[in-house]
Amino acid sequence: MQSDPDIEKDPAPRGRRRAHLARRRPGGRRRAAERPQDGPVFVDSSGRRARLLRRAGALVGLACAGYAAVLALAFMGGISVAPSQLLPFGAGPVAEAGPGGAPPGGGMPPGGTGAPPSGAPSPAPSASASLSAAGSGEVG
Amino acid sequence: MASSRRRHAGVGRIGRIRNQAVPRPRAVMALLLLLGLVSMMLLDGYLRTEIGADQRVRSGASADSVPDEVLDGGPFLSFPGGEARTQSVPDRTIVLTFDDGPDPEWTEQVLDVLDENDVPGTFFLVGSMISRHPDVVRRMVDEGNEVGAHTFTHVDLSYQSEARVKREIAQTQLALAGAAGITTTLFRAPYSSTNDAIDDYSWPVYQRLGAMGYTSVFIDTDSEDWQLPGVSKIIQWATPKNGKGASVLFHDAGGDRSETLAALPAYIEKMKAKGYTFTTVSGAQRRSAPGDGGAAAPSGTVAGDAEQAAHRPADTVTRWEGRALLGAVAVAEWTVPGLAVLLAVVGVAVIGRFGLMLLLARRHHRQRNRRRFSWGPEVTEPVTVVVPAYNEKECIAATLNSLAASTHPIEILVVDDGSTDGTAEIAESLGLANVRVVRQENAGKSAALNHGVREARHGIVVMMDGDTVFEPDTVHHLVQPFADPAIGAVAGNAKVGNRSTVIGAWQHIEYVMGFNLDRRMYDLLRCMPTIPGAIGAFRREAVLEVGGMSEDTLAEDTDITIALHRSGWRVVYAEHARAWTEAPASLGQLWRQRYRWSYGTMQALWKHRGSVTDRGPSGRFGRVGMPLVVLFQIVTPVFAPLIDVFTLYAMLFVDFRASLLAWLAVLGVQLFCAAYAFRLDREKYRYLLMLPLQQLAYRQLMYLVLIHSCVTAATGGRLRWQKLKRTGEVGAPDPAAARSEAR
Repeated sequence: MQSDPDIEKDPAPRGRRRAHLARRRPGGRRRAAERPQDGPVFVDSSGRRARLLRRAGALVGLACAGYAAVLALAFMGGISVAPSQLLPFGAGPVAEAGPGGAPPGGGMPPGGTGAPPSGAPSPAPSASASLSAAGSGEVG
Repeated sequence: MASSRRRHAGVGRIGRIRNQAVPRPRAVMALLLLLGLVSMMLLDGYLRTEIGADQRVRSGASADSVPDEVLDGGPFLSFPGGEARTQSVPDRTIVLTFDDGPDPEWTEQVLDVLDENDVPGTFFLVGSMISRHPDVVRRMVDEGNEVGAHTFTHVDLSYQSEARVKREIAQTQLALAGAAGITTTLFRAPYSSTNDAIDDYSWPVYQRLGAMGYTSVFIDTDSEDWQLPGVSKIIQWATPKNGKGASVLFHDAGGDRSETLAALPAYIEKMKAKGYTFTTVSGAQRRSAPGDGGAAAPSGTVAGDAEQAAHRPADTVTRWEGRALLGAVAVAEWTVPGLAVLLAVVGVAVIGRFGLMLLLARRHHRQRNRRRFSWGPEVTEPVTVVVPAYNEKECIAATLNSLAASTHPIEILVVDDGSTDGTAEIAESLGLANVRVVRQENAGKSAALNHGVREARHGIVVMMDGDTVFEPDTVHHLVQPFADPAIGAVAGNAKVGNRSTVIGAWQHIEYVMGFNLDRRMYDLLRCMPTIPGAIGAFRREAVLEVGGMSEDTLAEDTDITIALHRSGWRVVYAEHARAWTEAPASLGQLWRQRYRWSYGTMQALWKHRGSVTDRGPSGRFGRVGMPLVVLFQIVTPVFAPLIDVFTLYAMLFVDFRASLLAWLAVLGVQLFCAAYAFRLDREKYRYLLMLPLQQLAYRQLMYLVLIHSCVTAATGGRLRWQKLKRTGEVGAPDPAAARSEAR
């Protein structure tokens, strides 16, 4: 149960093995590939690989969590399209006038009084075009 | 300094492993991955309406609560100011409506037809389809068609709760916002038709949707194209009588729509010839509105704005949420089928492996047990048995006593690896004539074995563990293959002695299958990856030729076996050479042992990766043995639990009975293989009762171990040999008794 850097390898078999390997494997490329065998396989004592992998793992984990969050938001009713966005008739018979008169760009019904207290950056009512710029900053 | 740092790091790792089987960040990461996978599969199931699917469709309900004006009114139902109001399609006007799309195959073709004839349509879209084919929706909207919501999963809303109705609509709008940047005020309920089909159950749904601002769109004429009645019938049924206007129902998805596609141009031409014009729902609403002079504008020339008046630009947040949803769907659309393909590959590999194993195990058994079979002249020369021992005071006496009873002439060489519990003294005190004890400073099992090989006086060296018990004829059976000069090493048959516990029984099953199926197969394929540390025999010269046991890996047994293959030695399996070993008795110990094995196997495979491109016997192992071992010992076990996950998914959401049967069938195959393995080894079948449970629990454990070692390998972390706690329980009964118990 000692740490292995201290383990002494037996010199005799090792010498034989070296000679054997050298005999069987000529060529620099392969020799280079064999090089890491000098120590325990896979071990990276610099810790660089571990750090890299930990970061990659954190990224993947975050992505998974984000994925689940997106779905939760989309399907658990985290968002609901506010009625005020849909009502083609902001007040009574605007429906008839709306489509003809107002271009669809003015998404809010003309009598857009359904707006909440202005300035509150709550996502649901940020429908009006004027807010969209601020909204995009918020999201990005 | 570097060395001291490393040592320190190593100690820390060991401590961590001991305290908690899985280090925490990894567990969190694994859980997150699982969460991601599960949500992906749930999403996929939802989109394919395998989850939450509700096939009920209401019919024949009364309509007492529905106002007559609505039942007899026009097909556009809205509630301005809370009052129900219907609007009709003006005379000589057609509103083409298409339900259930977008479909990747048919909708585009419908759009082509509309485009060629320069008429707009109104598409009632299913949210799940939008999220899977957003491009089609984008084109639809760009080309001036109008879209409406048709729920997310095409359910009969009259059966659903208020919350579900809201969710269905909200999700559809979200998908629409993501796909085309708009939301819509139009809605059509699945399974709805003409106004007079509104009943007491669906009426409240329309009322609620109306209060939310939606216009529910019904139909005047139904092409019934989903019944595939033939082109002429479709046209006939879609045509309104007496020059009246109509909201006409077609379908652009949900099956073969070739008849719809054939009927559509003919229908448009026919109606145009009759003086009809075509518009969208909003267009028709506008024309029928009072004071807005009916069919003033000819179709096709009406400003796009008026024909898409139901569209509202989605606000930025909704749009981004919608895009996120579409992204999530796209990921699931690619991943889940990808996983399914992977699963099919793994499934085929697993079944193929079972087939191959049965075939080769049978051949191996027949070949080696044939009366006339022999490896050559009987091997009677004395051999050296090397027993590496590190703190084996509980077992060493039983081990040595069992060896002393050997029928084959042997020299017993106990290599004491710096034990602190007096193992060496116990060995010496037994007073056995042929036992030699050599001591070394604690240096690990590989070093001890090398020491033993160097000290050995005979040309054949048997290696065993300090906790293993041999039968009297074990050594004799084990060394017989050396009559063939090409054979460099022989694997024996290790048996689990402590099989009375659940864990022991599981390992017993595993051992019996591993030795009687896997090893026989590998023997005949000449690529046995591992000679078990518990019982193996080597030619001394072969071991020295490949440089002895190496400390490069934690699985020195696998490492040297592969090295022997690579230098051209043959490795075979001697089934009658039995060794009784004590298997880990607790989950923690089992975990550590398997962790070391799987990690060590990976190390050994990686170390010998160069063999893949080698020539000669080394290349043969690299190209035949290596892929087999990688496939069967790493790839399939890693993905095997995915089979369970998918089976569970299929059981819950697709078809319970069929999935259960499939799972049971696989279990049956495994049971059959296991039973065959037990038969070859003349073991008692009753342990097979544990097999179903083993499949449920043990496999998942092995899978976790494997994943864990894969990650450790990737991170380059340092692992140490972790000695198992021994009780000496296997050593106690005399081997003959143990054997008869087993039979």
